[in-house]
Amino acid sequence: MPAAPPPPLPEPPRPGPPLLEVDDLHVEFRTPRGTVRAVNGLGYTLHAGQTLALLGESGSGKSVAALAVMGLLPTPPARITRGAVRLHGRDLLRLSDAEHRKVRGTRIAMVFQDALSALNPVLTVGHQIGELFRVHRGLGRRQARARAVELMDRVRIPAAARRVDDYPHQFSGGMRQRVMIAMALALDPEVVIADEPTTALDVTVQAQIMRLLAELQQETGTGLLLITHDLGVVASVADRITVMYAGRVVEESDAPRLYAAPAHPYTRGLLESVPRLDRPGRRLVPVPGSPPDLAHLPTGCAFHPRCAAARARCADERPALLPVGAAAEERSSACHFTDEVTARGGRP
Amino acid sequence: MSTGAPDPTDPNPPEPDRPVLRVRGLAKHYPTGGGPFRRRGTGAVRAVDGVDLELHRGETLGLVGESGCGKSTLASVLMGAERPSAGTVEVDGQDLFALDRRQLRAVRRRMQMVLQDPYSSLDPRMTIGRIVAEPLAIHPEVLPRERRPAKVAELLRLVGLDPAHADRYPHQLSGGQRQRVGIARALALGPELLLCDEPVSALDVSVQAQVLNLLADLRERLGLACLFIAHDLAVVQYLCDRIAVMYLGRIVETGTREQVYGSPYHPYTRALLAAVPVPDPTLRGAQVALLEGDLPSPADPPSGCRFRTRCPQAQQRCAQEEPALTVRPGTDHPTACHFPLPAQVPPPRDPATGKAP
Repeated sequence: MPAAPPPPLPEPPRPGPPLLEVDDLHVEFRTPRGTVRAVNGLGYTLHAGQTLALLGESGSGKSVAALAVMGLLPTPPARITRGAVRLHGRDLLRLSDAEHRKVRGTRIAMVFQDALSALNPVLTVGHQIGELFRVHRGLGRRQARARAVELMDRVRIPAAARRVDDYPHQFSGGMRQRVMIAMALALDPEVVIADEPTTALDVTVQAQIMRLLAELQQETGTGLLLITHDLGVVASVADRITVMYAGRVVEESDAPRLYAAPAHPYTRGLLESVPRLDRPGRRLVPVPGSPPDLAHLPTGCAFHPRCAAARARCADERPALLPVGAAAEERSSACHFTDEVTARGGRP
Repeated sequence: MSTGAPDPTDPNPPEPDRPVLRVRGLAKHYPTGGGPFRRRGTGAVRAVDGVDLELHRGETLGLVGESGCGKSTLASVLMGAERPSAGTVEVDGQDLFALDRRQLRAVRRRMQMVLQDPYSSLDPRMTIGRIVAEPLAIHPEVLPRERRPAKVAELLRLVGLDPAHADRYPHQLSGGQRQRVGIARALALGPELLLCDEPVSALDVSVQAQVLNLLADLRERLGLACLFIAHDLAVVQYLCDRIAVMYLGRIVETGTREQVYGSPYHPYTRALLAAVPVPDPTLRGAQVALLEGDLPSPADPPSGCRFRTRCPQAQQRCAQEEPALTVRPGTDHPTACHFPLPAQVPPPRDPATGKAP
């Protein structure tokens, strides 16, 4: 069936200067079962003021890559075998542990999925937020506490002045995640990495947190790297989307184009397998098979065993990530047959 | 309470209009207090607090709600894992909690459960074949031993697995395959009623659709009645004919899928639907009123309507009088709200912040 031409999409927003560049990153884990190749040549660029989503399912390497950027990978068993992580052109992977720790505290901050285990249960949240100011800014106890209250206000925790002396367990899941966001923003970082920040939350609370993140990002102009598996969450906030599969980028695009006309069969498969409130009665088309075993990656294109469009070439030759569409769109896809995928369809 | 409960071994098909599952006034309270530092018997967590449900043959009822609403407690009572504090659960007209052991065993054959976590719900030391055959070993009267391997192969094929998988162990399978094994086990005794508690929420998106389609097909082919408990509103919409929305131990709205999703009357249902992010960036930007705050504690629910503390429409009456779940003037399905919202189809919108659309 010929698809109706999609309405013209707005030009992708002009990005600010490159902030964080990940280049050809390779991470593997040595296990008794063999070498698990979690990240296999990942590359992306986050610009100032931009929200970039790393979209992938479990085992896609999205969280491992984030930990590598943060310098939080346990080594061993993990090993970064190749690549660079540049912040303003400076390779973080070449820093000493002490230098990396300094960057991590002040210039790159992270929001984790599980706020309850990321917070210390025996210290008040005010103490934990204030600690950042005491350690990194040399503030006194009283000043640090005042800054903590300010930050809690800023992430819209009601009655912040009263709650600053409460312990993490006295907060609900959504409020704890706000505390995590407050801590991430405390030292005005240039980059915030949010790893599945709402996955543990209920849908009504998720909406509150995503709105908060988007508002704060606009206020501060921080670069936000959002790591998630949720196509809905991504659509609501991301400027650009990097789709990962088996530790590599399979597609990269601005958000509207990715959803309107996916260029990689995996992206297309994801979009067709999500039930949507706004499209009742549509039969889901699942992606067959399971995500790959990272200890035994398929040859050629890692997605080929699950791909309906796969041919012999896909098993032999790994497709490079190449530009698709008009140059101004700045999209790319890693598929030998991208042209067929895009030709076959606008909206799924 | 049903009158003249039939013999559970009665082979006659039950009357067509009798629900497979009927839940009346069900409550499950967990007493709090006790312990060395507290006064005894100070109160109770009212996890489920007066729930009525009916499920008919071949029908799928979706029970949705956020964490803490009581949906999983309800599931464990329905499976007989816990006794209710009040109310009845009837399966084919027989009260589950009034039966003796032998009768209960017979009824249990008719209702089976599919659990959320395919990693922890399968015994890692048992082969897939033994796991699927286990219900047949527990109910040996169903099938003679020598015919069980063939039945296992048939069940594995039914859920889209290779019968050769029978010799493998759970850790050799992927998450999606494990959930298929869980479904095959649930179908081993030929149940009429399947209770599914978050059956796809632990699975990856690309695999989730496989299991959803499998459940939809099986339900159709086998004429199963399904109670589908989930927090994902889009998943429930995909699979369910009727919907019940739960909040703090109570059902606040129920109706057909078209009724509940098309014109939700309860402010909670509407807020819940509005909060679901739609995977379409072009819909971004419309400002949606989000719910404030969090779920109150079920140990100390608000007076009157339990939703009133978060409800943008709440008025004085809501604090004083608990609204009953009934069809109100101007509405076409039951809601527990004194002031149901006017019918409207909420446009698909996105909850993220934003500029004008």
